[in-house]
Amino acid sequence: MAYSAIIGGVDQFPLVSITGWNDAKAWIDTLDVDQFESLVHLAEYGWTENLAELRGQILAALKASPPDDSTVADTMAGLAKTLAGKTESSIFVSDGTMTDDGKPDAGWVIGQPDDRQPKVRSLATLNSGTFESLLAYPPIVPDFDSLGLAATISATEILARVRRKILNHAHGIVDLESDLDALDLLVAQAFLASQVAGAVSVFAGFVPPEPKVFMLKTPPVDWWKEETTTRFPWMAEASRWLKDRGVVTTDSMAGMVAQAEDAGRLRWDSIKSVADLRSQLSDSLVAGDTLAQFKARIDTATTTIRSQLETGFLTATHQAYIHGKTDTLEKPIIQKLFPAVEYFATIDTRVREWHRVLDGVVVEVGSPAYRVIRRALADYRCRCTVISVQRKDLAKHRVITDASDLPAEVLAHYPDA
Amino acid sequence: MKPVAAKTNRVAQKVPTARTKSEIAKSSATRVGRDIQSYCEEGNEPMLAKMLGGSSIKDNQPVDIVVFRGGVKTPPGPLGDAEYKALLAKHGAAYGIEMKTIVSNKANKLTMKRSAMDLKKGWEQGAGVPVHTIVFDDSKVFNALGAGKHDVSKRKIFYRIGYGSFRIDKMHQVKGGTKELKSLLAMKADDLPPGAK
Repeated sequence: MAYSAIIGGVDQFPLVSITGWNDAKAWIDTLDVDQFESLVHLAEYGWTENLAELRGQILAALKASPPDDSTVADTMAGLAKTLAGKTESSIFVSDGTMTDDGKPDAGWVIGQPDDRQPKVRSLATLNSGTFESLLAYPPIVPDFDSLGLAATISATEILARVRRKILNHAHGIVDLESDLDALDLLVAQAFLASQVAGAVSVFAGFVPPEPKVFMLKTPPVDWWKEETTTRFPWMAEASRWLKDRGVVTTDSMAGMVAQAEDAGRLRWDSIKSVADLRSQLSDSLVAGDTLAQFKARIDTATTTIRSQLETGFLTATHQAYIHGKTDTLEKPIIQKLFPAVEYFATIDTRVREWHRVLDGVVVEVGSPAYRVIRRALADYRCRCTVISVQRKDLAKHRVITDASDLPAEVLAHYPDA
Repeated sequence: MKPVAAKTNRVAQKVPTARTKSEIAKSSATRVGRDIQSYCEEGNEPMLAKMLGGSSIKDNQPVDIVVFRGGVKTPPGPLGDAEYKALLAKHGAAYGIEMKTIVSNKANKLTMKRSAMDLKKGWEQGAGVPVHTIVFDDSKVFNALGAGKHDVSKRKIFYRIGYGSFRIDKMHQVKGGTKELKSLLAMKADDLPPGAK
């Protein structure tokens, strides 16, 4: 904005851009000079006095001769609002420059100085949080063109589909397949790389420590790294997140340990399958397979751990989605507009009891209660989600901040919360 | 600076009351009348937008000029609110420009209220790119050859990344025209010359 209104020689109020003010003046030119003299004087000389009279004239003019241009109407209404209750004598229009007052420079902000290049956001963020961001700040659209997939799928198309996916609460592989083939392939490949690494760790006889959360050993493989970084930036991001995560829940680890214990029978087959899978995945990356082609490779490579992979895939996809969503919600700029989230559970016979009771609970983002919610969302094969709550809607909800105010069933499951 | 009376004035300029005089006198901010406003609106802002391959914005947006990514060209004239938002959402911004024109030889300092700075910060966070300040020092240009006749050869251009309140003579003077200005905009903050960062 270029022009400010200086009231009483002191108070400065942002007025409008130069062109916006010129449009406002064009409208003022159409007004009757006798009836709106103060307003005309302000337009013509850049100053006037008797602020109450000016405000009255602005309001009367807006009513008598509404401007066609909504920007003009907004500017003048804003000015009238600024003038309300002012007892000073004068107002003048300033261009934001001033004579040297001898005082030190009040301050200079260099924002985002090293952030010229478009950010390559994580796949998880693209899958979820961007939707929220779009609502609040349309400019936060990742630069899809720079990701090299522009020819495959446009940003608008992806976001429209992601939005539909979110609205439908669909987190399954089927939805992903039908929605985002290109994206899907990358998720699948990234997940499988991670899953293979995880499987290797389990079958290597990893013993989980106490208590609730177990760290997987750092995957000893990086054979895919070069290829994915150069060919699929999104996959590298997704892989990074999945790889760095390195945390599984109790249920997840119990399942993996049980499988490991069963390895007396499956061990050889599984390891062979893992090796086959690695080989197929590597070939797939090099060949740039479509998802269908990739799945065909998997089908011919192994069937032994297919169910495990699919279940794990669903979990990882959902957790990537939740990661992206919460990551975005926790950004200060988003948090300012959406300070709370509402928990939505999938109410059916399979839902965990402590997830069921959380359905409809609203918590403040970043609060202790929110951290408990995040732990619930990270539970193995969880299908729940959170929906952001706008600041203006906060009054409609009971917003919980303290973890101790959560339902007893939840606290019983997370006793250290 | 005394504003030059525009030909289209429909009312005579009032004689300010003593209180008004006092209020205006205690302010260091530069007062601009219709003639200066028209000069900036019709001349400088579109000119800078054209120089940079960007678009000026009509609405009360945090920046005056936006250069969209990918060299997106827009129709001549300032963008309305809806057009601007749609283009920003579709293409993203490469640069946001805060433009100032100095026409008074007494004005040598930019001033910006905290609320305006916060708006710019919000814009930066949304767009993911910084705001740059470009100043046209036209104090020796405006009406240099008589009323309504300007001598653009005397123009000085200053640049600094960021925004806020600052003395203009401490900013980097752009002597290389459009080419230098574009290179400054594209440069990383660390690489900018003193005065430009």
